[in-house]
Amino acid sequence: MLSRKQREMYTAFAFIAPYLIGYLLFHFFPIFLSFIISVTDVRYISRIGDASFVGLRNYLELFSDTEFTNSVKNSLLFSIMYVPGVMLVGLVLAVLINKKLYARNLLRGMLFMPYVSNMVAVSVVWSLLMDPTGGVINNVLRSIGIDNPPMWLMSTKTSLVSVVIIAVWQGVGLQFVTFLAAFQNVPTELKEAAYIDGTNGFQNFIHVTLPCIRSQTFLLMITSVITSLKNYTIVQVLTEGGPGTSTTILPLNIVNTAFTSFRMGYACAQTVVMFVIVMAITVLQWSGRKRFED
Amino acid sequence: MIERYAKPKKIILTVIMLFLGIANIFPFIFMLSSSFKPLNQIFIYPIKLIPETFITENYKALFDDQYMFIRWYANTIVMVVTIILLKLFIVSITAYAFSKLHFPGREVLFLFLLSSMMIPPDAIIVPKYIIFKWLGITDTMWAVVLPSIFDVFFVFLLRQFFMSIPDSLSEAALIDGANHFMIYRKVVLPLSGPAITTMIMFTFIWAWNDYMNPYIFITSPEKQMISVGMKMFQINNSVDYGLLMAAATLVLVPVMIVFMFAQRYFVEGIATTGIKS
Amino acid sequence: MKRILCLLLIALLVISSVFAGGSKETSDNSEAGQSKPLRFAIKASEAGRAENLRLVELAKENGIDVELVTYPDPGAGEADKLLISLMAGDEFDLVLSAHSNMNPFYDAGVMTCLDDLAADAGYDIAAVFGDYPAQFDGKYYGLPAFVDIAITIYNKDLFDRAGIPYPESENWTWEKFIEVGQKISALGDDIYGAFNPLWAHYNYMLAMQKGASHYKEDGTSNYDDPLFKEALEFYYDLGNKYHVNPEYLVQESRQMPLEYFTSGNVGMSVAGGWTSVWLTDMEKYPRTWKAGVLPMPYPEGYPKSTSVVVSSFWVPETSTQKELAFKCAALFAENMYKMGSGRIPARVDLTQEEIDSYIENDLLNAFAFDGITVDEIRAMWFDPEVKIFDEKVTGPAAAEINKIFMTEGGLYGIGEQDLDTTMMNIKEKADKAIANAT
Repeated sequence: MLSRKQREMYTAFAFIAPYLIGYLLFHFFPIFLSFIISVTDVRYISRIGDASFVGLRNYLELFSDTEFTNSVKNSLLFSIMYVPGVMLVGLVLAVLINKKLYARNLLRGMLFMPYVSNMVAVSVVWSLLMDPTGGVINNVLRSIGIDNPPMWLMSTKTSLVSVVIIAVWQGVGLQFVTFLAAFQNVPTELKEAAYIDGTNGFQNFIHVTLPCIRSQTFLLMITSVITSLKNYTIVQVLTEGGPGTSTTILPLNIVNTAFTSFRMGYACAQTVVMFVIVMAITVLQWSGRKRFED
Repeated sequence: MIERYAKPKKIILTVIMLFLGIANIFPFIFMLSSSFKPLNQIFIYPIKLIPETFITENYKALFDDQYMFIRWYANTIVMVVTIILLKLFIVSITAYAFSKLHFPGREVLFLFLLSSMMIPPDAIIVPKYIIFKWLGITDTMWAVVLPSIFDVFFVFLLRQFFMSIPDSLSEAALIDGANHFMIYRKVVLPLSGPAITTMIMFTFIWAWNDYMNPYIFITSPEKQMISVGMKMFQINNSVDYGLLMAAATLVLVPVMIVFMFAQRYFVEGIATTGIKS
Repeated sequence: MKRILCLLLIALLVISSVFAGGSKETSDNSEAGQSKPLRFAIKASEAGRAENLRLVELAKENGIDVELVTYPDPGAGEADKLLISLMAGDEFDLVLSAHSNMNPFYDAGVMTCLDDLAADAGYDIAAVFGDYPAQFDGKYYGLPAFVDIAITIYNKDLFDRAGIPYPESENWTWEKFIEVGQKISALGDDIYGAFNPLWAHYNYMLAMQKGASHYKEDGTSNYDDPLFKEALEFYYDLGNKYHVNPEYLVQESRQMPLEYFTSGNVGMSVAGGWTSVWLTDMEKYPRTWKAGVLPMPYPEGYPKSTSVVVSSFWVPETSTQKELAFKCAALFAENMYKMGSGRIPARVDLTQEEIDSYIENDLLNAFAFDGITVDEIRAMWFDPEVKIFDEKVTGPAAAEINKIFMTEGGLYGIGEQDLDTTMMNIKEKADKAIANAT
C-alpha cells in the first residue's frame, strides 16, 4: 500500500508525463542542439561536416563585440521601461473598465483592438502620429509653444523610448485581459464587508483587490519580463533596429547574426548568454514568490 | 450594497474611456479604409480615411485562383481548433499537477519548463527544422500544432489561477473519497471559467496570427496558413497593400467573434462568489 | 463553456470533411519517364506574374511536368525558408533567384554545379548566355533567365505643369536630373521631383558608375575609396540638399512605399527595369497622366552606364532528377523573355532581327497608352554602348554590407553622423563582416 504522499507523487507524474514528453521533443531538444552549436563555428547546418569545435571562442568574442554589448544594454533598457509600463497600464485599464460605464462591452472591445490589429497598420498610424516634421503629436507640441519637439523614432536619443511607448500600447491587451479575469477571484462579499467598514475605493483596492490577484500579478510580472526580452517583432516592424543601432535589442541582434551574417555558432552563443540573463532574472523573481502565493 | 455611482460620474468616465477607445481603433480604421483604395492611393500624404475612389476589387481579388485564400482560411481554422482542443486537456492537467499536487522537485522542474520561454524562437529555428524533419512532421499542420500545444505560458497561467482556488475545497473532496482526476474535473475546472477562457482566447489569437512557424515548417502552398498566405499578396517586388489590408480585415473577423464570446466571462465577480470560506 | 467547445468541434469536423477530399493530386503526365513533377520554388513577389504559369505550360509542351511551389519572400532579418529547407534536405528541382541572393546558397553547398550537367547534355552555356550566367569560383551555377536593366520613368503631366520640355535619352546625366527635379519639386509641398525607395544600393550607385569596385585585390572592402564617399554624399544630397527627392527623414518617417511614383505626385523614378510595370499595369496602378521612359542617368564626363540585376535558374543539390532539371532550366532560361512580362533576354546569341521583332511585337504594345516609341525602348534597354554593372554587392558578406550601408547611411541621413565618420564605420564594419564570412 502506497502512502498518501507517494500516491500524490505518482499521480502528479502521470498528469505531467504527456506534457513533459512533448516539451522535451518540441522545445527542449532544439534548445539543447543550439547549445551544442554554440561551441562550434557552424555557419550552414548543411556544412556541419566541415565545422569544428571551437570551445569557448564564441563566448570570448562576445565580450569585445560592441554590437552585442550594445544590444544587451538596449534590451535591458527596453525591459526596464516596458514591464512597469505594461503592468500599470493594464491594471489601470482593467480597473477603469470595471467601473459603472455605458456600453461597457463595446469599450472593452475597443481597448483590446491594438493587440489584434495588423502590424503594418499599427506602424503606419504611429508614424503619422510621431512624424517629426508633420506628425500630429509634434504639431500639438509646437502649438503649445515647444519649439524643439522630440524626433521620436527618428533620433537615436528618443527612438528606444518611442518604441517602448508603442509596444506598451500594442501589447497591453494581454495584461488587461488577465487582470480582468483575475478580478473575478475577488469575492464580492469581501468588498462589501470592506465598504461597510468605511474604507474608501482606493483603500479598498489596495487592501482587498490587490491581495486577491497577487498570484496572477506574479505570473504577469515574470512573463512580461521574459517576453519583453525575447520578442522583437514590433521593433523589427517599426525601426528594424535603427536609427543606427539605437533600437537593436538582443533578439534582433541574434537573428541578424544568424540569418544576415550566417554565423550560426556565434548566434547560438548569444542565445545561450541571453538565456542565462533571463533565467537569472526569473530565478531572482521566483525566490520572491512567497510574497505572492499562499 | 455598493453605492450606485452618480450619473454625471458615469457619463464622464464613459467619455474618457470612449476617447481612449477611439484612439485605439485608428489602425483598424486605417486598415478598413485602405482595403477599399487602389494601391497607388493608400499612402498619399496626408492620408485620407475616407477613400477618394472607393473600390471593392481588393476583396474580389482575394478569391482569385492565384491565391488559395479560402483554403488557407480553412486550414487555419482546423489548425487553431485542433490546438485549442488538445491544449485544453494537456495544459490544464499539467497545471493542476503543478498547483495542487506536491512532489519533490516541483519548483525546479517548473523553472526548467519555463526556460523554453526564454529563447527567441527564431534563434533555434534551424535545429527545430532538423528535429521536426526527423520526426516527419515538416510540411504538415502538426509542425505548427504540436509545439504550440506544449506552450509553457498557459501552464503558468492556469497554475496561478488554480492556486487561488482554496485548498480547503479539494481537501474536502479528498476526504469524501474523490481521486485527483475527479477533483480536477469536478472542482477545479468548473471554477476556472475565466482562466480557461483567457487561455482559449489568447491561444486562438496567437495561433491565428503565428507567422514564423507556418512560414518555415510548411512548404506546400495548399497546406499553408492564412498568416503566411497574406505575405503572398505581393505584386511586382512589393507588397500589394490594398489586398493585404482586405485580407487582414477578413482575417480579423474570427478574432473579434472569439473576443465577443469571451467577453461575458470577464464581468467582475460572477464566478467565484463564496469560494473563500 | 461546454457549448463553445461543442461548437468548435463541429466546426472542425465540417471544415476538415469539406477539405479532406480536396487535396491536390499531381497529374500523371510522365511522357519523359518522369515519376514526379519537377518542384520549382519561386518567391511570392515573382510568382504573381502570369509568365510563370506560361513557363509551366511551355514545359508541358516539351514533355516536362513542373509544379510551382510559391513561398513568401523573407523579410528584412528573417530566415530564408528555402535555404533552411534545402539545408535540411527537402527536395526541390529548380529555383529562380537574383545573382546577389545566391551567395548564401553557394556557401551552404546546396547548389549543383552545372558544368558536368551541361557537358553531359552537350550544351554550350557560354555560347548562349555569354558572361551573364552566375558563376562561383569559376564554375557555372545558374542559367540566366533575364537581365533587369535600370531605367528612368517620368510623369509627363508634372513636366508640363513645370513648363519643362521632356528629357531626352542623349546626355541624360545626373546633373540634368537634379536640374529638372528641382523645378518639379517647386510645384508644391507634396510634389517631389523624384522618388527613390530607401534601398541600400543607392548608397554606392554613383561610385559604381564611376568605375569603383566593392572589394580590393586583397579581398578587403574598398570603401575608403573617395568615390564611395562622394556616392554616399550624392545620394543623401538628392533629398537633403537639392530637395529633388523627399528629405531622408521625411521619407523614412512617413514610410513612403516604394511605388510612391505611381501616386502621380512624383516627377521621376530611377530604379530597376521591372518598374516599367507601374506604367503597363493600368489595373493595379490606374492613372490618367502619361509617362515617358529614359535610360538611367550617368555622371557628366563619364561613359553611359546602368545597373543590372541578372536572375538565374539553378538546380538544388537535393534534386533527384538533375538531368531533367537542367534541361528544363535551359528551356526556361532561353524562353523566359517570350512569356509576356517584358523581360530583357540575357542571351548573346540572338540576332538583330530577333531583337527588333521582340521590341516591335511584344514590348511596344505594353507601352501603347504612353505612346512610347521603338527608339525610346532601344535607348533604355538595348543600347550596346552602355556599360553595365551589378546593382548590388555580389561578393562575400553581400547581405551584411548592404545592411551596414543602410544603418550607417541612415545616421548620416538624419544628420546624427558626419560623412567621414560614416565612411570610416562602413569600411571598418564591412572589413569585419568580410573577415568573418571567409
